[in-house]
Amino acid sequence: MKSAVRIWRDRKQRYKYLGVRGKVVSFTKIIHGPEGFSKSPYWVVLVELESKAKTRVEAQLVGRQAPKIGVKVVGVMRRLGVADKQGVIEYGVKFRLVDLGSTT
Amino acid sequence: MKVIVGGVYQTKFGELWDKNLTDLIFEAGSQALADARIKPKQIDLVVVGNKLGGKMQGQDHLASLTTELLGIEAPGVRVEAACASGGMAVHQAIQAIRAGEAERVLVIGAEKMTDATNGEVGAALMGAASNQERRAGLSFVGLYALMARAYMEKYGAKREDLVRVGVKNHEHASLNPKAQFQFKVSLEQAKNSQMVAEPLGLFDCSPITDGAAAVVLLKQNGVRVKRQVEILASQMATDSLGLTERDSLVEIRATKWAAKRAYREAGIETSEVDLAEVHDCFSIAEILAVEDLGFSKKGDGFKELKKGRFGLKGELPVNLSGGLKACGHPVGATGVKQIVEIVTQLRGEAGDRQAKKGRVGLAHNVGGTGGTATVHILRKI
Repeated sequence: MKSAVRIWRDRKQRYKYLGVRGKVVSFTKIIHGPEGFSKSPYWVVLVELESKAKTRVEAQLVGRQAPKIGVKVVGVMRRLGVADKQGVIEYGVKFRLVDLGSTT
Repeated sequence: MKVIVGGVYQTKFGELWDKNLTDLIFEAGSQALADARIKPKQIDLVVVGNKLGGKMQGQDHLASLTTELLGIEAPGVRVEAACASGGMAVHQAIQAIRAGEAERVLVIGAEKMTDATNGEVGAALMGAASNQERRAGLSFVGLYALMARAYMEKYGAKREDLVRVGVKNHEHASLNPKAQFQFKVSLEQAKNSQMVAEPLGLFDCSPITDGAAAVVLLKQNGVRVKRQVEILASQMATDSLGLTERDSLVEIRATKWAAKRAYREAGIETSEVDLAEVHDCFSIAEILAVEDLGFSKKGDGFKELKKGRFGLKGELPVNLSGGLKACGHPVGATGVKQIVEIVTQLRGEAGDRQAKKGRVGLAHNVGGTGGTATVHILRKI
């Protein structure tokens, strides 16, 4: 169950990757997501950060465009999932494609 | 000290509308005791493997429930280790016997999952994942899809190489009257099945299942009894909860660690294993398992699967029960069911799916994406 205080307490981890850049090392298109993520399908990417070697992050990808392995992404703040029964709307970091053509 | 398996039992796996969790626990426990020819009052410890009792049934206190149901006057404990809850329950029971705390232990793995919607079960299962993975909207099939994509990229495996796991395991399940899906599927059907999380489709995924399994473990008292199977090794390992903390996406380190210790404890080489039940929650998981357990070199698992090495008539049959994919995956029961299947095979009582060679068998159970793994090696005496 979501609660405002639980989400607030988690803020350091939650926004840690805001504005951080990296490249996609794996990805999947979730066709049937778990409860609370009703806007399926959506893409989830596993990203290796530019700033810290071997540091990896998983997050949703903004938009419907398919990623590729090696493309660059940047962390942006977005709404996560849907509001629960208590009406709590959760925000956090998703990734946005920087340059789909680049595969460094 | 030798620990032997005195009795085993598996309920039918599937969507069991007429049975609740209590019915499943009672059936598995009482029938395993009957197989071992042991009375409830002779049991001196009960270990119950279960993951979702609290979330799905509103019942967490399963050890007490079990002793009450079966008329056992002995201590009981519930063990939770995600989808490795069953394997961990068996491990804990063996540890108790080795420590001299018990001589006759009943282990039951049980799960009732089909009363909830797929979305509810998916969300409940994500209790075994990291916070970051939950925030990302990942499901377990999504997490294994990330591993599958990385494996395909690195070793050149195609989608049909993955779905071949499901084709093989459905073929085995078609010979298992206790399996959830007792039918074969063709490679074409499996390959063209609906996507769940790309690149994994319906026939890459284990189902939502109700079921229970039980084993009676005994301290060897020197009396030779027919149909005896001994535990040669019981090992477990724990790794990071989240996938992002692992060095590699194409291996499960906990499996490698537990397997290495298990082979050393058993005093056997990988090549001496005649058959195995491995954790194929998703097709890629079986491919990683046969590699991480040392049956295939890294990157060769899918190639050897294609050549038929892991089929019923192959050199090393894997998942003759039908595996999690086709026998079913009632999560807390799975690790115990794997032991039941190995014992049934080693006793030579597996009917149409009987392996031609059967002296040493291995059971491999994974929790999460590899946060926990258990490996058991058993041998016919």
